[in-house]
Amino acid sequence: MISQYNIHIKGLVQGVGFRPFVYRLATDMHLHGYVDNRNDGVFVMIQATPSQKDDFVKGLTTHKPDVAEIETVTVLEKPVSKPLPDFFIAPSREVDNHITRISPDIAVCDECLQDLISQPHRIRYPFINCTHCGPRFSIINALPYDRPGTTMSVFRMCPECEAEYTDVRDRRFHAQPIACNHCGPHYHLFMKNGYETVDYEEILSRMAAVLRQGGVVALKGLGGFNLICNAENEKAICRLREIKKRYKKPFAVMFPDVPTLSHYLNILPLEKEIVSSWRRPIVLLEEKQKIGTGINDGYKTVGAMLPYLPVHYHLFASSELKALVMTSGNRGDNPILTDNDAALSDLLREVDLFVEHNRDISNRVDDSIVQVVGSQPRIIRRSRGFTPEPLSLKFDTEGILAFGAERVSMFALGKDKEIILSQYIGDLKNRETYLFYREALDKFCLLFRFTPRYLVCDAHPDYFSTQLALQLAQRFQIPLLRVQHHHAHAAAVMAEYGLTEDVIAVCLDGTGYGDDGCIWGGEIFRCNQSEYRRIAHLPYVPLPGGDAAAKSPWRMAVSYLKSIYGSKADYPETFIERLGESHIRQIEMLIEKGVNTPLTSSAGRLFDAVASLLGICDENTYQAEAAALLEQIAENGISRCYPINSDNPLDLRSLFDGILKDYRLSVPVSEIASVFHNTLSAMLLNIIIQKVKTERLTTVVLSGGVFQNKRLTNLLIKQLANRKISYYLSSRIPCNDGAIAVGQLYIAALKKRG
Amino acid sequence: LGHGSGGTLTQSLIDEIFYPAFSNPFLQQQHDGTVLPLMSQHIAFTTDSFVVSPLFFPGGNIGDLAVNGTVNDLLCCGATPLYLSAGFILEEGLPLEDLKKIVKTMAKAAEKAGITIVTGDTKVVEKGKCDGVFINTSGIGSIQKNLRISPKNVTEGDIVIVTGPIGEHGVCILSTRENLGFESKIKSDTVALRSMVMNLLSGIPNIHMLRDATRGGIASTLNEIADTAQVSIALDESKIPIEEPVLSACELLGLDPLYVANEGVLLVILPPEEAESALQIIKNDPNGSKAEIIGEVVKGTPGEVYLNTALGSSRIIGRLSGEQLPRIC
Ligand SMILES: [Fe+3]
Ligand SMILES: [Mg+2]
Ligand SMILES: [Zn+2]
Ligand SMILES: [Zn+2]
Repeated sequence: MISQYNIHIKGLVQGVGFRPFVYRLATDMHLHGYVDNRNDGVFVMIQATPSQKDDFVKGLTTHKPDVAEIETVTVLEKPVSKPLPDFFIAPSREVDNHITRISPDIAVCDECLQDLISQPHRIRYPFINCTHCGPRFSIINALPYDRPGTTMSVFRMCPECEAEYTDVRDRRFHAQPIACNHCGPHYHLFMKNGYETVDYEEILSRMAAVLRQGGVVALKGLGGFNLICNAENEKAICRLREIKKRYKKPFAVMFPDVPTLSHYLNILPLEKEIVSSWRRPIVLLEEKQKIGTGINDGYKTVGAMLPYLPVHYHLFASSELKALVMTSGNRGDNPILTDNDAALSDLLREVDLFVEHNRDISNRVDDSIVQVVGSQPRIIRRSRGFTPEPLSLKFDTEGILAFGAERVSMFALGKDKEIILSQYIGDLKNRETYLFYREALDKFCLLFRFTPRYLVCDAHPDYFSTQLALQLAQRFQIPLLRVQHHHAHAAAVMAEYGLTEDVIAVCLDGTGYGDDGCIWGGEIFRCNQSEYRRIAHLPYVPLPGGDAAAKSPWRMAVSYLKSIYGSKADYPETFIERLGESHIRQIEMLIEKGVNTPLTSSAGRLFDAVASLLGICDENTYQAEAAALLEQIAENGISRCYPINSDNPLDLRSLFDGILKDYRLSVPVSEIASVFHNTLSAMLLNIIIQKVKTERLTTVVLSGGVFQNKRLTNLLIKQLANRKISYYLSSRIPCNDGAIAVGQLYIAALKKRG
Repeated sequence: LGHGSGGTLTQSLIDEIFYPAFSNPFLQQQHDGTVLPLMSQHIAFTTDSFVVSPLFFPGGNIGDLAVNGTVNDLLCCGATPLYLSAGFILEEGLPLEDLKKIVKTMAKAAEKAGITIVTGDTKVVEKGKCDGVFINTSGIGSIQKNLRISPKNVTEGDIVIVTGPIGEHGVCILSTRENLGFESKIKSDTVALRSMVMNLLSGIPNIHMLRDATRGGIASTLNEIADTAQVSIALDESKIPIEEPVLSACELLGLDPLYVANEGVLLVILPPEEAESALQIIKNDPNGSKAEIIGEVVKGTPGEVYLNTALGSSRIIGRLSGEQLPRIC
């Protein structure tokens, strides 16, 4: 008995070869019907028997393209209205403003890697791709997603490619960036002495030679230029640091394959799955064997990734190197370079080889970073391989534009019932980054046919994102909502899990503008989507010199000691030796006089203070350096805690008593760091238990950049689980300020709904 | 100083302190107002109130500050300073000696700046109603016809000159008020820049913009100009003159010197072909020896000021809503 089945498939099913896959599946099963791209997914109609239908639906999930992610499949049975003679792909409907799905960029697939060896017109062709892999978001200029809307539009398909492109049974059917040796983009090498070549094999062998000799190569990648050197060559790393003016922050390392990676790093099955997924993010892994000096000094972890472009595979093969530093091609805190001319003039004189290609990058994307915490992937930096995948909500978000924060800025827009988060952008006070933010904003509005009708930004009056929001609200006469920073942090987690009920939110981060004009950052809220009440916070201490204190952890050491012990502050001898009595005295004076010394409850600054007291880091050269080093030095297997004041669990006095005493008794710093984490976790657990009881709530939300600290987070969530307290911690959205726009948007959506 | 009911006490203050110090024929008119001759078609008229605390600081006091501030405002309009009014609000209990000192300094500053104090007023208020002394000064200057100094003239390609090292006044005041100990090394830069501006105006008639970078420092002033003129201004970090003591004080205090107040520093914006000769004129003046070309007006986002840093990147110099608030996460 043949019925007609209307099958609706939602998830990441567009731009990833899903329709041809459905076509092949249906025709292999000799089913009749059609497949069609819709606003919110793929629609399939088949005329089949119930058992054929079952097999078909099963086949959808078992044989789907790797990249495709099916969220839901709904099947509706109908009587056959009109028997169809075959199965076909219906042309995409031009639906009003709704074609919003753009796939993230996808690492080259195994089949394409195979084709590199066997397909005559694509032998070693480095821009090979198919409907299952290749560039997507990074090359798109306009919708709909087809070739003219991408930066591939300037390349004319050769007859061979065109035949594949139009053959529904071919893996390259409608592969928009399709290309081959005859018709596609190519690499172009430049040397300081004026030598140039476009011969790929020569470029490869020159790059391999330079890398082997300890040189630095600039290579245009997928979402921007990369700077590359041999990760096992200390001198090369030094030079790279000099070029980038990045002297301490760890570099990410690319390994040729999992076995090589596992030689250097410990990797769990879930981590292995993530690092080799088509998204190919950088994954933070524990070091088993030192790779090279200067990559991650002070760290036990390394940011590791696997090749995602054909050229990466070729580079490993021709250089026979085992680990390459692969970092963004930029200087200082500028955004990653994407433009050939700009990169050439900026980088050529600095590096040994400069290699660009002639496929333009339309949307800049950095490498994404993920770590596994509490057996969940947690994204830290969301860009390549993730952007612009939306977050689905249960209610309307249309027209809301959220501006995010400042130092780790990302914006978000509301489309239908989704939140579309921009790629990672960076620190807005950097002018190039601010321009990137503005450009990306324009691009997203265009790509997603988005018209802002409701704006939401941070409460900080001087964030550049706030100022831009104010300007736009005035120019277009649209309402603007300002959201407290940590409420946004909490709301971002609520958005990810669709929470609408009241929760206890623990927001730990560096700096957020508080309602009382103080600088918040160690906050316990009772909140929901529309309002929050601050029910506890880390004790206020002076922030001597404002931002200067965030740059100089030692100032916070002085601040805490002076706040807790007053004139009896007894600094460790080594601290005084390093910083000098007069400098310490000066900071004490700032605190006494209250000159440019606001109060702060920042958790980040607490880590800073402890790191400096222990002699781990007195000055931050990059964001959260002291806190990261304090986490990294902490030793495993130590379970003791400093005493906790059960009446006032966030009281810090006994914590500092303990730290100073241990330090004087020459307890190893690695042990003190560990005890500090244990104690902080126990303090948080205590306050949570207390508040869960008094507020009569059962759900806890954890958010803020401090939860990037794996040790603290693991300790706390284990304890929460033991106590059967349900907690939520972001997974697909960063917990740092990259989340702020999502939280802002979530809060605004409710306000707008009224 | 006692609290007077407006009668004899105020009169005796005027007779014993103000008249002797400021004495000039206009003041001798002893009328409800002063009648003044004017020699030009256009005049510049400006007013400013001074409420600085402390009243006395290294490099000056509220008195010369009140004169120099208004004189500099007149000069920045392209005017020759002529006449000044001075209104005083005095707090009960202010030592007479302090008042005398302030008034004497004002007289000296006015003489130096070539401006005549032609009218004034005094009120004494109850203790706590003001902070020692508040002074309001208003000034009148004459303008030669064809000078047109206005932010609207600022265009792409123009050069930005700063006439001296920045941040000294603000840091000096803060340090003196809070007793931070920098006072010994950092003096307020309060000074009237009459000769410098007069020479500039006669040497370079097509100056586009002159501005004294007082409250909010050069950052805020340039932001206002960029906004009004709808241009972008790029500054070169390595060129901005800052004296070492100011720099290290700012480092300790966590203040960005670009936002710190000056009282004797002008920003001069003019066409590039005039830049070198203007710089020479400024450098030849005793108050301009450390002048520098610090930036230019560029194509870019209108209203945006940014700083090209020594590290090779550029940082946006935004507007602040108030104090320099922490923002680093
Ligand atoms: Fe934050
Ligand atoms: Mg003024
Ligand atoms: Zn492929
Ligand atoms: Zn081709």
